[in-house]
Amino acid sequence: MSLRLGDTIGHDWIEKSESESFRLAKLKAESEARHFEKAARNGLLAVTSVVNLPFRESAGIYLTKFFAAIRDEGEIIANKCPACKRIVLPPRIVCGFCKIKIEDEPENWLTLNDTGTVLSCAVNVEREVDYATYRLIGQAFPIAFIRMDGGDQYSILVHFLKETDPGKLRAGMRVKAVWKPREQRRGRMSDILYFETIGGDR
Amino acid sequence: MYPLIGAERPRIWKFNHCAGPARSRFLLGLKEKKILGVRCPTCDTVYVPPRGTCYRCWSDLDEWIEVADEGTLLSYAIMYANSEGYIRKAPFAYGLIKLDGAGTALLHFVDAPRLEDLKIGGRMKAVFEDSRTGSILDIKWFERRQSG
Amino acid sequence: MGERIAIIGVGETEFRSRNVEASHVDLVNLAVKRALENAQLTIKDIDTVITGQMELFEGLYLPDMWLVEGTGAYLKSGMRIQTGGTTGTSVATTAFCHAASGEFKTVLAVAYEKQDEGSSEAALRSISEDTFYDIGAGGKSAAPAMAELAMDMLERGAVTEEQIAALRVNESECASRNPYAHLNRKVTLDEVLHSRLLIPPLRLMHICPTSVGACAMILAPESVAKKICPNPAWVVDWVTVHAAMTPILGHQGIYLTHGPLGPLWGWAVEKSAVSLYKRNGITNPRKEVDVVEMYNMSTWHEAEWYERIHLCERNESGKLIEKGIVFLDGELPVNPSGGVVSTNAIGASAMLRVAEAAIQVRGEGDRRQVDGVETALAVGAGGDTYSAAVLLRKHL
Repeated sequence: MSLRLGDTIGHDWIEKSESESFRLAKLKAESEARHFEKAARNGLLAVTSVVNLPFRESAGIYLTKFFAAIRDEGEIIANKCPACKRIVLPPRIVCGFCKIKIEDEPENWLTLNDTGTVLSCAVNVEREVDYATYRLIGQAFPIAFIRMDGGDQYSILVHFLKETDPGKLRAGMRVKAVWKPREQRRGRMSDILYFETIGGDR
Repeated sequence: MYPLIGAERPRIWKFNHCAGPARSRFLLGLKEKKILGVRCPTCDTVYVPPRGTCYRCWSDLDEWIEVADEGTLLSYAIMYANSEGYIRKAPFAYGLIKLDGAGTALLHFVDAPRLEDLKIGGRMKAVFEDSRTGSILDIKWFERRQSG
Repeated sequence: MGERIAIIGVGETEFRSRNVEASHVDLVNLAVKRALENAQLTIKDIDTVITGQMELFEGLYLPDMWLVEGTGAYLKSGMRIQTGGTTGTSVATTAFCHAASGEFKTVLAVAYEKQDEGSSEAALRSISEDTFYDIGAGGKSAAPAMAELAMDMLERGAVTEEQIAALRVNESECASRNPYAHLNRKVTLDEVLHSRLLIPPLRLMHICPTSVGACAMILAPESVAKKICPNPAWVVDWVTVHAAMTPILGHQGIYLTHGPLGPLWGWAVEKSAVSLYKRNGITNPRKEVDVVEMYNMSTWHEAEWYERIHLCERNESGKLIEKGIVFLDGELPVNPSGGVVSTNAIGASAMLRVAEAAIQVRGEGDRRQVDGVETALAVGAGGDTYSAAVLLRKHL
């Protein structure tokens, strides 16, 4: 993909975009505060509340296997529908196309390579500043849709790319996962730091 | 097999709830130590707290009146256990108070030297905070009046 | 047995970015009052009320209880619907089913959003990023998906950036004629081409705003509509498709793949539109439909969906724009109301497509009215790939 980028993106786009994001968020917050103050002076009240709702979730049986493999083996696994033979990443209990259960049998599971091809990626020029906590959200790295080797056309993982130079980003580029050391892995997607470019083209 | 993988994730959200004209006027009235209600001429009911539309007959409501800051206790509940989300520490009590002049009951904290002395039918009077901001908590609680 | 149904009244509020003057009930109250006035009915004539909004965005729980003040639903039956961005069309199609059942004389459908009360980004982030997929992709995860679609269109030569800018200018022209639209200022080509880049090639002016406002619609079965309404918009057919078959981990709500199906979002839109055409004997939508209102979350989406709903062949959407076929004064105007790019109160947006299509069919479009509308198509969709296509006609 040939990016026609204009002046706002350059090699130092990370720094620029972060400070720009904060500046815009600050402007927005100030404008909002002024708006509510003016309304209050005119007898119209707004009550601001910040709620903290912590949730506890379990991954479920199939995703537990998936994340346990990521944590313990450093591998990405998927399952396969016995009927249509589609590879399901992330592994699911039911094949969405055939509407049948994919049993938890060894023959239905497979390990994918941790290399893949970038389908497309997005360079976030403007990072999001969280409205409640005023913290910068997400990572400065480009985010990509990566089709994993060993899977089929639907085996797509969303993750970050190590390459931050927009001029070097291309659809079709080959990437490989960079894993955190075993003792730092907790069974989450962030156990993979990002994907780095490897040689060769697809 | 291994234990299921679980995780906790905080979700911190910020909201600005707009009170709208009717409720804003009520809250600003509390700032002045006034309890306001609005009357529906069709249903002949005075709503406290007030609203912009009568939910029964759907008429627009614009007949504002001030109701008394005292009334009758219709019902109450004493909270003996603490729970996340309560702004007061147990034991404390909620009560439904029908203020003199109002057609509906107002939910608020009710207090007495001994909570067990609260009585349905008793007379309750509003106790206001010294510094008020235009919030329902500008009323600290409704207090049992010995004469009631 | 089912009855044929019609839309007999439509009401909207003026959409803005902030509205502290109104609470939720005030907003809904205004839209319902206008719909009742448009239908020449009173609240007593309404039998059942269907409401919809994305209550998570405003931090409410069971808002339909409080909304009784606004909707007049006291002691009436009804339900609340929430299906993400498609909420509006889901509210509409639920109302259609209620009306078609013949059990109710009239059905009131209300869809709205009060986005100045919360952060839709924070809420979207909590949907699209799950606890285990904690890479921190951010709440703008809708934007990478949109950018991917835009990039795809550029690469296969379906449109050029200049054509997209021209389309955006047309959208603002339509919005300037719509008294209810949010972004109703006419923009210039230059402005659009140089507006702030978000994710290349997506620019700020290409995507929809966040708006505050409400939309209300009144429906009735044929037996009632023929008696009380001189000018009904007949709801001839509708098809709903949900495409969430292969979600990508980490984008629970936003799906995009490359493959024979193309972007999954578009797949649901295509399937619903094609099924609708087939069921109603439409073989050439460009000629047989007079106006289209579709859910264009960005200008790029509108261009891509021309192909999806078969208004043109693949890679030909640029031609539709170049020749002005889809402009307000063209052969088949699309989004004469300005579309979602001009007004996006998320809960209401999808229902506004049906409401605006009904307005076109009933000839009440005023300065945005298209001449001689007999058949209108409304297409709604949302981030969860729920899509609905609705066919409206002036005469049965």
